[in-house]
Amino acid sequence: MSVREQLEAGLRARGWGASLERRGQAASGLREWAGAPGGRLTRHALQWAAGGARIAWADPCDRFDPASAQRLGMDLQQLLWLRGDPARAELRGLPGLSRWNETLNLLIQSGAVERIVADFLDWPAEEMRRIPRSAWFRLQRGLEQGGRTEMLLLTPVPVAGICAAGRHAPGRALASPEARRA
Amino acid sequence: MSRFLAVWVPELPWQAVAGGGAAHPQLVVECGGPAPVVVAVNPQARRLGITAGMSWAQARLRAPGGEARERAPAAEQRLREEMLALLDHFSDRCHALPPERWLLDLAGMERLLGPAMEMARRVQAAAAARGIALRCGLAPTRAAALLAAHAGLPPIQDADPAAALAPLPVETLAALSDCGVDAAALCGLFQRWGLATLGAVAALPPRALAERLGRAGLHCRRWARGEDRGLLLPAAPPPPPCPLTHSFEPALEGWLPLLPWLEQQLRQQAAEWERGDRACAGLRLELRLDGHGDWHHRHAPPLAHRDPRRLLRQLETALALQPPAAPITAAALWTHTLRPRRLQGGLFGDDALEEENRERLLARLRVLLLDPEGQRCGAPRLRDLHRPDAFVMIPWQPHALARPDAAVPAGVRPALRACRPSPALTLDFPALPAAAEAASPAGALCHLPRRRPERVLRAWGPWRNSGQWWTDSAWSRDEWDVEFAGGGRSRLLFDRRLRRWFLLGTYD
Repeated sequence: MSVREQLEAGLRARGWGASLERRGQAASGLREWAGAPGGRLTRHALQWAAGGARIAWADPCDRFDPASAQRLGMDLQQLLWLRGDPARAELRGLPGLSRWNETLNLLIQSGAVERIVADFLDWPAEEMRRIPRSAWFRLQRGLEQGGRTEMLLLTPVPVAGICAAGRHAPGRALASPEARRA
Repeated sequence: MSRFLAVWVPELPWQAVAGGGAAHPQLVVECGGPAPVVVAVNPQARRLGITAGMSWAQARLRAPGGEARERAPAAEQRLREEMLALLDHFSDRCHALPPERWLLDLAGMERLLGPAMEMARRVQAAAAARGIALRCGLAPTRAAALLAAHAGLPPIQDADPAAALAPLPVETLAALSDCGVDAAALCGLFQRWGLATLGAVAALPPRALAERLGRAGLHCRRWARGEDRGLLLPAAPPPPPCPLTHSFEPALEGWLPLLPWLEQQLRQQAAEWERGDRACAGLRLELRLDGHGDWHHRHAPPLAHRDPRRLLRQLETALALQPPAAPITAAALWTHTLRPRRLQGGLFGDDALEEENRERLLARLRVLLLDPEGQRCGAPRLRDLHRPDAFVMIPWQPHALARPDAAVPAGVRPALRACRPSPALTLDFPALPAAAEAASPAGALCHLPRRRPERVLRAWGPWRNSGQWWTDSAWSRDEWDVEFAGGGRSRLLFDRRLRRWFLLGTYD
């Protein structure tokens, strides 16, 4: 690996690569992709996450498939997979959502990862709607203050409101960020 | 013409604590770190092969009957002040080279106090009268004087001391380890190169040495020749570990009001450590309780640091876990410091610190996700088995240098959303299949969990796999990719041993 490649890789590993690619603009932010399972959200989310040097995949419903992620270019060694356990009452319902919210806050504040995907696609929509807006504001504020972490929220219905920078309504055709840029 | 007098008090911690001529092995042990370490020994213990730096357990194996005493920094400081006061009578240009060396510039003092050799003799006599054993070295340069004191050479009278120093063993350079370069480490390297004497080190070509060892190598070469350019960088002596004490009137109810005082003390200490290039290797907090005795806590971080917030967090945790049983009337805080480790973890930061932070984050995540074994919080690693979904969870340790965009494949590749555990399905076939394992699910009505029944339009497969047939957990299954009439795609599994259908996951 040449010195230039090492430098670029090192900058990426520290989470500075994304902001460099954006010519100095902040790389942080909350995105929300809403839709029903089957809308290829998972595939696009995997491709989006694979662009990060260190990735966290919050998986409350335990739906992540490592083999698919590897096929889509994700380096599994760079991935922190947080698996929920739907069999446990503490990780279900609103108490479970509260725990996951705290987990996401902790991840954002640590700055240990560059991209976070929170996969709530299979979580009941009624419970997702009951999350107070202040929780999303708190996440967004943490992302902005850290400045090095991006987060993608996969939900069955739009819940983050104005806190999310990019949204996709359910049922609409989804284009990945890469495809839109092209 | 000897101009410099070097004074060395060997095993100063032992002389400060015990001294005298004990007939049995005596050790001075430091208990501030994670494990007790020998810091000084008497000649009897040295004869048994015990040296400073050994752990107490190792030393005890060599000298089971040895007497161990705890290090007394206050006594060491008193001894140093006594030595400084003694040497002050001979020259006003006296540099302390902590922890146990002093250097005197005797230029111009001969007319007042007599020849340099006579002064050295008087220094030794005065020290002996106080019960201090020391060695003196006289030489025209500072480096040569320090080396001569360490090796016990007679006074060097030549203007160029290189010839007198040449026969000394290369380990003598370790005497200058306190002069800004880790000479002890370089001594080992020189020995591996086959250099046995200072003369051999002095004869090394400077350019080649600089290319290999940098400035440290050049310093060692100069010292081996008795040249002392850049030698004297006397660091301030480490501050004595005096306790920071405070009495509370009225007594503090609970431990929370104690935190501001602790924070203030730690911040002040951290600023002093920063100025003196020290780091905290140990911390002890003692609280005097109103009528309930004392409360003690000792903390030794695995890596010395000077971050007051981390230290405060440790004390806060200790107080929260074992809160004092009565109001606090007084507090005392001891700190043990040492020189921080000089290591650059990498081009972009300290990897050791980052790893520590990562471990702390993972521990907090495991608590949040109710996962004490770490089986649901880590990095997945695919196993090289016939089962396509076989993986294990390993601790998350990302690469320092990752290239994420190196090989992102193009094209449409569906992602599977796995179902764990796989729910059982019911398939209603339009006609009874002749052999269940050979039946394609195409055309069957599939009863998916929590969904309306859907008819399978197309099916691809089967992909047959089996394994572990030599154990009780043998498995054999057919996998099918199916497309439903509603447009969704899933992966189904037919367990050939149970003869049942399961949903492996849905494609998204």
